[in-house]
Amino acid sequence: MALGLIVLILKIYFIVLIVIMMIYGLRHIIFTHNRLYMRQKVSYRDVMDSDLPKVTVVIPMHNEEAVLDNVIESLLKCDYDWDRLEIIPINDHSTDRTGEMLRAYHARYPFIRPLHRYGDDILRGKPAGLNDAIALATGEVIIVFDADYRPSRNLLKKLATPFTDPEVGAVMGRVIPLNANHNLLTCLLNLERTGGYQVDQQARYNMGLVPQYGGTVGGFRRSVIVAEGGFDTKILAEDTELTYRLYTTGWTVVYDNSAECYEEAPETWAVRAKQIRRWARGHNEVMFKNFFRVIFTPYLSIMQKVDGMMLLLVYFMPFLLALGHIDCLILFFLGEMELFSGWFILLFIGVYNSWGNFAPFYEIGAGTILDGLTREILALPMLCFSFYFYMWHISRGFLDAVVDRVTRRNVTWNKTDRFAGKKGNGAASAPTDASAPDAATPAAGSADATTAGSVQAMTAAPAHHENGAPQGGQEVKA
Amino acid sequence: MTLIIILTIVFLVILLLPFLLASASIGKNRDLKLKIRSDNARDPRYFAKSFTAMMEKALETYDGSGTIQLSRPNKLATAPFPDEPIDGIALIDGDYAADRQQVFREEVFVRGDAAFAPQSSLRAVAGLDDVVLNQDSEIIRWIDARNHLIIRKGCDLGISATSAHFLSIDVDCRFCRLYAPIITVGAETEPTFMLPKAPPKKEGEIARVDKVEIEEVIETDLITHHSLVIEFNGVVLGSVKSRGDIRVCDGAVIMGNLVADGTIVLEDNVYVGGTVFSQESVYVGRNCQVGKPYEMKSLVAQDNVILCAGACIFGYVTCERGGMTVTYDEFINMTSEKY
Repeated sequence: MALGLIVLILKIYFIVLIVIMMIYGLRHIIFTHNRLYMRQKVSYRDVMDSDLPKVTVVIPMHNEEAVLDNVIESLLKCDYDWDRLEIIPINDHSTDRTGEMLRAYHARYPFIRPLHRYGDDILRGKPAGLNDAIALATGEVIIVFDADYRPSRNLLKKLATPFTDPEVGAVMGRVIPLNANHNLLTCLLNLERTGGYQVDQQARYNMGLVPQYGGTVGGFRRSVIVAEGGFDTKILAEDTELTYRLYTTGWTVVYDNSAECYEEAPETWAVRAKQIRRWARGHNEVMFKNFFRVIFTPYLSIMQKVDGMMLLLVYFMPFLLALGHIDCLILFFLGEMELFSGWFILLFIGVYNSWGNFAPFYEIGAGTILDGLTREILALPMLCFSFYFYMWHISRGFLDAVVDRVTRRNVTWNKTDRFAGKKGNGAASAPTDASAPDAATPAAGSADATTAGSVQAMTAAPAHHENGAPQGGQEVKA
Repeated sequence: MTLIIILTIVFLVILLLPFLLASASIGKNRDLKLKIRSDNARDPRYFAKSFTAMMEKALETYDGSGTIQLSRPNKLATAPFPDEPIDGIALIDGDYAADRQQVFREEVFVRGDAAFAPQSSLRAVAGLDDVVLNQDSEIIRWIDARNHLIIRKGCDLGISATSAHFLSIDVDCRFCRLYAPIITVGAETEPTFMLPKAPPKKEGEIARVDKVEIEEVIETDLITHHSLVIEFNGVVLGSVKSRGDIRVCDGAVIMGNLVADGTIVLEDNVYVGGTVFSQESVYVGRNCQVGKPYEMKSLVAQDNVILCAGACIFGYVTCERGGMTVTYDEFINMTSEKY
């Protein structure tokens, strides 16, 4: 009797899971169809306005002496009026010449106002650094770049212009891997990004659903985040958290496919594993926090709520699927797989791989066609090899988030390994086009969270801001 | 047995073929194909500025041979021009007033004032002073004047019509993009500007209503998920966003921007101090003003922009499916179909 009940539960789980997968699949088909055949929204980039808002560009940095010249010099070449521009590089506990170089920039350009964060009791990590920078910022719009990015000349205008719409709380640009041709992993990441941005994000914007703010190459209204009390420093995915905070308080997010900027994609599976686990952990923390807020907010339409929930659950699905695999094995050895024949397991995997959460093949296919990357599309079958890799590491990230939620533990942040400048690196063969980031310069990464349980307790000591510190910049000390 | 081996090989080839092709497509020696242009900044007069710079440079070394070197060697035609279509680049080194219909198949470069005769056809025009395009003429690509650009009734303005100072368009003209610090419709003189005085909007608050009543004043930004009507003499001190259509009635004032996912209709005497942006069409009525002097604002629509005689825009106008200037009666007919 008990065994029969267990089998029934396992079968129901199996069927429900397949239905969920098919719903996700249908969602991606709709997005692809929209992008290829339906009416596209006109971009705010067509707006030319002499009265754009004052912008504060915030750049989190930790030991970035090798690359900070690139990002700051690129920003200085932007066609945004300097009297409406402020740059706050966040020197977060750097031990190299980052602080010294930033002070030199401040001496030459007063609107570059570095924020130096030192002290054992100062919260590390991007959300904490952003909170300190936002407190000092004078711009109406905050635009965030990583230190190894090189924004193009018109990128600031593209990111600032959508704020002419009073409903826009955040703007997201498009990130393009610079080292796409380095190895199999970077090639696959390039494909995923192509599908994710060119099709998924743009379609969601076209359809008035829930395009996502991605944390870099994007901007948000300072007044909104200040009114909400700043970023939650206990959540790793501050970008996703901001996205849902905006949507559930009556704001919207705009995606601009033309606001492009290069980034360096992880080149080893170990680094990618760490990154995707952190994303999964942070995203699921946001899911726990916003699940009911999305359902009950009065500001979202039914379709936006559906899309918002599906996006919110996207890093939960691999864990459900992992359980589904165990479910299948149990049913198989109990001889209860007559529900579906055994080959269906393979089909099941294929369904998830192609219809699943990681920019499925038809989104990627459509994206590469729209981008004119006709040769890259041949690499599409290789995506099947990353399937179990993602399922494993995202499931671990989900479990991290569950433990975070249960134990209320904090997280520490470490720098992600970067590869630019290393011998044989793909970035070294980047295009010599003026648009490409400096290939020969080693890049440093954005902050990355450790995922182990050995989290460092962080005190909530209030940061102390000393404006006008010697030789320029602001200091934040414990 | 042989058949089994052959079928096995065929099976393996078919099974592995996608992965073999994929492996071949991944190589370190390929260029990164998706390039970002980092050096371009938007300039509505880019065509004219670029062409003028090339012409000025080429004319410095021009030897009078009838061929000028731009990006490639081009025939150069100089005034007076023959009756038949002119094939080369046309150089007008001074003032010019055409007395008959002409066809210019290449760009026209004018160093003085220029007036083209009715029903002329021109590929592109760069004028260093005033340019007048008379009735029913056609521009294939662009027309630009460093001073005043006057477009008479019934012209087709191609991709772009721009001026560094003042652009006047008469009715029954078609266009895609317009730019000038001052653009007027149906009037060749600079208009009387509206500069309504209003206190600054209240920050940190948002009004969420679907209708602004007659002479009501909204002191904040206004956002609605539905269609919006701003009644007669209604005032919004902030910006306005609607996920539906917006109808702004006679005499209303919006100090900020006006953004809609649907169609925007500005009836007579409406003032919008900021940019007007629509995912569908925009209708601008008689004596409406978009923007204000010495500031550049935009009027952007995905579908059509309809400008009624008497409208005035400060800055940039663009639409993807073509714009048109119309008489007041035509405007009334067009907008009455919507209400």
